[in-house]
Order: sequence, then structure tokens, then C-alpha cells
Amino acid sequence: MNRDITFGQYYPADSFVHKMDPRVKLILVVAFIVAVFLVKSLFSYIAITIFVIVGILGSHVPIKSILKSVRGIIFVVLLTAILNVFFYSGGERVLVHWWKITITVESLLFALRMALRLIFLVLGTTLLTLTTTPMNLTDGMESLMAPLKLIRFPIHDVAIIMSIALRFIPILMEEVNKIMLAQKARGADFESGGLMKRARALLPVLIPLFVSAFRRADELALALDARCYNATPHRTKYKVLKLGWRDAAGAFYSALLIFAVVAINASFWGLFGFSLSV
Amino acid sequence: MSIIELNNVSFDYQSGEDLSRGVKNINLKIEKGKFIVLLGHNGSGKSTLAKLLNGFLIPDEGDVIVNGIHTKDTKRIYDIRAKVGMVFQNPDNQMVASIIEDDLAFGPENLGVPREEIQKRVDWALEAVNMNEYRYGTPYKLSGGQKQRIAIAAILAMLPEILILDESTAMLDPKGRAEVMETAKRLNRDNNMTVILITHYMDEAIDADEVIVLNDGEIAIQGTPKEVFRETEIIKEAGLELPVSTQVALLLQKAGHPVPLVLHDEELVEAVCRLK
Amino acid sequence: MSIEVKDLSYTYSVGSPFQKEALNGVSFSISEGETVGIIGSTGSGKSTLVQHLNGLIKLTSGSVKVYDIDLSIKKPDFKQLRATVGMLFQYPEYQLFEETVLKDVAFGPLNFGATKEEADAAAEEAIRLVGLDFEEIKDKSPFELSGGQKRRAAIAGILASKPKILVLDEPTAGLDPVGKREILRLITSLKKSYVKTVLMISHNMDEIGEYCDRVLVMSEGKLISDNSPQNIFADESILSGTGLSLPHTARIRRMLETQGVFLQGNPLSAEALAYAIADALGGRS
Repeated sequence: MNRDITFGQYYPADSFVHKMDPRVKLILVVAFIVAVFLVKSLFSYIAITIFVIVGILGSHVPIKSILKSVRGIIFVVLLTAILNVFFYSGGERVLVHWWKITITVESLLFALRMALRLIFLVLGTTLLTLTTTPMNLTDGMESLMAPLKLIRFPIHDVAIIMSIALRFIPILMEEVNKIMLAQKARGADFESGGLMKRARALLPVLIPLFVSAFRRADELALALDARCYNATPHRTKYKVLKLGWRDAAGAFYSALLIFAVVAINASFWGLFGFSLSV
Repeated sequence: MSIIELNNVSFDYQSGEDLSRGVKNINLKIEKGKFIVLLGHNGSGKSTLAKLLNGFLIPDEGDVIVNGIHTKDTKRIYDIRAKVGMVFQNPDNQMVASIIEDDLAFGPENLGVPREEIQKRVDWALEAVNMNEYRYGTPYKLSGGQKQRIAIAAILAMLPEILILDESTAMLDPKGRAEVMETAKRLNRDNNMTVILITHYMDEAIDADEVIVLNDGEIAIQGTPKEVFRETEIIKEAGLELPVSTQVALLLQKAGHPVPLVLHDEELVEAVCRLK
Repeated sequence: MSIEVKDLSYTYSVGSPFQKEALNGVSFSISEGETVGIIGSTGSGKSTLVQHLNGLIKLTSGSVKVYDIDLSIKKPDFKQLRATVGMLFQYPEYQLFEETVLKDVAFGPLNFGATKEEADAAAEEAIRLVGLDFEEIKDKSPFELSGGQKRRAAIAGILASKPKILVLDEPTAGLDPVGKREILRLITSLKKSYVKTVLMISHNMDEIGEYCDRVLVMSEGKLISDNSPQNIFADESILSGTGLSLPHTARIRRMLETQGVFLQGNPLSAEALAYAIADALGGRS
């Protein structure tokens, strides 16, 4: 039945970001990740936030779908934040000191930054997968990896593998759901007991899932052969990627972001006579 | 001229020490433009036979010749596969791309067809299975019958001369089955496509040009639907079940009513009315 | 009353763009001993409906009662419910997972609290019941069995918990004619000797007509008819707009009627139809 497996899945829309070349989007995401890691000052986060908001607005994807992806990792974010608060060594402005644990203003700020970093990383990559079809994404990767052909790296095969993986994820998710229902009907209990018990309770789901995945793989292999996969080394491409003005605009926009982050880090090299390091 | 020829073909599966029967002593000529139905129960060898036709399996003995090319000629195997298109049971397992037109383009891309030509083929193939409006959609929301039609279109985009449907109706609901049957019949009629339909539903064979029944890896009987359906003992032995109207006609015959052998419901009604 | 469903409604993914109404105000009750067919095109709500009977979908609106287990209370006893209602999913062989057939079949009873000895004994009984050779297959891996054997083993896995009600979702899907007959014959014999009530979803109207004594027709989440197969397949009126068609037997009878040949009753098997036609012909000549 219909389950909303929206995590990172393509959201069809006719927007600026959707129409951008997947290669450019991939490079931009990498640039964005670099920018996020370059950030030193909290002010830079404002620049990044603006960047992300503009990106979301330009994608016509409802904010709800995007926030869903963050909800999925909120546990990881909280965990890293808490660990960071406790294990951050140093800092002078002590807030709490109890036994071996010291919490300082600096440690709180550090934890906040790490949490923000994680959230921004997820937002950036989600925006990519929400606005780019899996096929486009693999086409983009294939095209970007083209130089690897020189060292005889099987780029096309890797692209097909990725495309197939993306295509089968929802199918296998549905399959998991079906098997779980069937085992529940036989009295299987996935909800109670300790960690070990729960892990063991998953066997009746995982084994049929693997068996089914192999059965599907068998048929898929035949289907690939039936469609003459690897028939010729001179494979053609139906969809040719083309750069457009949107891509230039996007590239310029990201360059601006990185510049802003670097500039803020350096307090605009003292040009305006104030410091932005917090 | 026959487009496919099988001369004394045998094939066994080997796993370790064990041999299991695939098919034995098959002699067969398939004419271009015919609608052939290959019937048999699960394990009768019908899928093995299908896989011999496009070089998925190479016969242990005998020859399979497609369009004058031996399937043993490994260098030309893709010439055969592009001409003998094969659609399988589960449509979900045959699609490689998440966008329908991309999936259709996959075969021609593999064959190195130029871009403009692929475009034309995709247009034509979608038209041929009546799925034009789904071109930019994803397969997830389609019904089983629609997915299987897309799988057929993906094969058609390679411009095959023979379309093999290897139990392609087995997993579908009656509506999906009807859609696929209708598509196959239309391709045969309008595009002169040679169709080989593999199934265990006898009612899918009633309109065929030729019916071949396999049992235990051998051809049990072969002929027009009427010639084959008449042989009730052989049909029963082969683990098949006659269409309801044929069963009723045979029961009436037994009871002494002069009803001819019928295949369609309509024929039965006509025959009964004539007796009134 | 073994099953009582009142005003059952269900909507998937409430509040998301995928929101979909699956059931809308469905009410019916089933007495012990009935064999009930559920028909409807794909997406008509049949699967959602039967999953409620096993507590696999959380009841949100309406009430469901199976014997004295009331699913509308806060914490119903799901274990007892699932032991009472055995549910066979489509392609049930895909749920096999254990090292041996015996262990796999014993999985249900063990979950429902049987000791290992009790579970093994129940498994043995169930394996024999579905017509498999117990000594030969008990230690085999379920994955070594043939297609038809796998399905039987899966059915044994349901029967081992000794359910009073058996719910079958497309039990013959994907089988060849011989396999189909065997499974249907098995269900008939189980109905006589082992389980009390059978609910069967099927797309095959011929099967429904021949094997069920009552049919529920689902369309777009609603129960649009609840009657005997003879009445439901009497003419096209009930099924029109559901995407379903008459069984061949009923179709032939209808066509004969329009040609002025009237048959006694509504025969739904080939034998009964042939008999009725012979009767109609013989009456004149």
C-alpha cells in the first residue's frame, strides 16, 4: 500500500533548481559542503542560512518535505551535540562544574555549531535529491566521472548500478513492509524486548528479504541481457546534459556563498574595522 | 520462410552432479507474423524453450536458428537478442530507470542507436502500448498491467521482429492480463509482429494461430487451437485446464448433444441456440 | 458470531500528499462455518479490510470484533487475535525463513506461547494436513522445496497455530491449473475438518463462484454488496463499475438468456452449467 517514503525522494516540480544541470548541482552541493566546513564564525551561519532559504524557495519544494529529512536525523544531531558539550576541552567561561564534567560557554557554542553543520549538510543534500531525478543524478555523476575512463574505470556500469539501486529502494521498502505484516500475523513481535531480542526478531524479515532480492536480481539480470546491455562499447545516450543560464547563475551564487563565508571568517580582512569572530 | 527454426534441440540443467530435464528433442518452425502460444504447467520446460530462442541458453544438442543466425554463434548473440525481444513475469524486475522514457531508451542506447532515432523509437513504442501520457512519469504508481505494457514498450524500442512474453501475464489481475493480451494481439495484427506467448492459462490460447503444448520437456501436441483443445486426454496429462466453454461443450457431447468443440463463450451460446 | 465489523473506515497517510481513503463505512458480520469470498479490483480496499481482522492495521474508526476480542478497546490482545485468525498473505512462500521446514512451521505456535514440544507436534500435524510428506521434508530447507510445496509449507505455518478463522489473500496466485486445483481442494477439506470459517480474497471470479457460499463485493473502499454468489453473479448490475466481470459460467448463462434460452438457477461450475443446459435442451426435444 501507499507509504510515504519521502526521505530524500524526488519531488516533481517545475522550478529553477529542478531545471539546473545535475552536474552543476552536484558540484554546488560539494561546494556547499566545503563552505559549511569552512565556517568558523556564527555570522557565517547566517550567510549559509540565507543561501539555503533561497535554494529552497527556488526549488518550489514545500518546506514540510524538506524538514522531514531533518526530523530523520534529529537523534544523531542531539547525540553529537550532547557529546560535544561534555567532551569539549577548554573554554574559560564555566557554567557548570560537577565531578569530572565541565560545561563552558565555549563548549555550548561548539556543540551548537556542530549541530548546525550536520543539519545544513542534510538540508543541502536533501535539496539535491528532492530536485533531481535519480536518473539525472546518476547521469550527472557519470558525466563528472568521465575523466576516470582514462584509467579504465567502468563508469557506465557504476552509473547503471546506482540507477538500479535507486529504482529498487522503494520496491524493497514495500517488500519489507509486506514481510513484516506476514510475520506479525504469525505472532512475530518486533516492538518489545531488549536490543538483542529485537535484533533477533528481525531475522524472519531479513532472510525472506534477501531471498527475494536475489530472486529479483536473477530476473533483472535476464532483463538486462534481453535489452542487450553491454552489446557495444559505442553506447549512445538519449538524454544529453546541457548547461544553461540557470547553471551559470547557480555557480555564481555558490561562489558568492564561499566568498561570504571566507570573508566573514577573516572579518573582511579588517576592511571595515570590526571583528566577526564569535 | 520460418523466422525461427529448432532442429532436434535438447537441453538439461546441470547443478553439480545433478541433471534436471529442460527440454528434449524439440523440432519446431515458427513462421513470421504468427501468434504462437506455448502452453505447459510449471516445470514443463516452456520457459527453458523460450530461453533457447534468444540465446540465453545454448542447446546441448541440436540447433536453434533465428533469422539464419545460429544461437551458438556467440559473436552475433546481440543481433539475435535485439531481434528476439523477451518480456518476463514480474514487471517490477525489468525496469532499470525510474522515469519511463529513460527506461524505454535503455535498450536502444545499449545498441548504440543515434539520439534522434531513439527519440522516434520511444515515441512509437509508447504509442504502440497506449501509454503515451505516462512518458515522464515513474513506474511506482502504475498498475500491474500498465507496468507490463511499459516492459513490452521497452523491448519494442529495440525494434524486435519477435516478441516473447515469458509468463508475462502470470502475476497480473484479470484486468492487467486482458490489457497485456490485447496489446500483444494488436502488435501481431497491426505491426505483423511475431508473438510467442508462454502461459499456463488455456483461455489465452483460443485466438492463437498455433498452439504448442509442452509436457515433461517434450512437445505433447501442436496445432491450431481447435486441433489441440480436442485432445482432452493429452491436455489433462499436461496439467492444463480447458476453458469453461470447452469443458461444457465436451460434457454436453458426452451427454449425447451434438455440440461442436467450442473455444469462446459466444460460440457455445451460438451452438446451444442452434440446438433449440 | 465469529466476525463483526461495524462502520469501519480507514485512511492511509492522513495529512500527507499521499492521503488515500481505503475503507469507508464498511459493516458486515460473519457466522462460524461460512466460506466468504471477498472480491474487488486492485485498490478497492479488500487487503486493508482483511488486515484489520488481524490487527495489522490500527483501528481508527468503527469497530471490529472477532469472537470476544474487541479491537476498539485500548489494548486488545493481539496475540490471541492472531492465533485465532490465521492470515495467509499473497505469495506466502516469500515469508519462509527458517533452516528447516519443521522449524519454520513451528514459528507461529512458538510465538503464541507454545512450548517447543507442543509447537513441534502442532507443526507436524499441520505439515501432514497440507499433504506434505512429513518424514521427507521436515529437515529440508524450505528453500529446497518446489513452488507448490513451498506454498503448502507456508499454509502449514499458518495452520500450526490452530486458527478458528482462516483468511486467504489470493491463495492461488501464480500457480498453474493443477497447483490451483490442489490448493482449492486443500482449502475445502480444511474447511470441513480443521478451520471453522474461511475468508478468501480472489481475482478469479470462477473460483469465487465455485467455492464460496457468500460474497462481499468491495468497490472504492465501500462494501457495495453482500450476498450469495448466485445472486451477485445473477446479472451484470452489481458488478458494473467495479472493474470486475462475471465468471464464465454466469456470462454464458446471461448470453443464453438474451437468446431466449433460460436455465434453472445460476450454475457456477462447468458441470452444473452443462447439466442445466442439457436440461433446458432435453426439455424440448
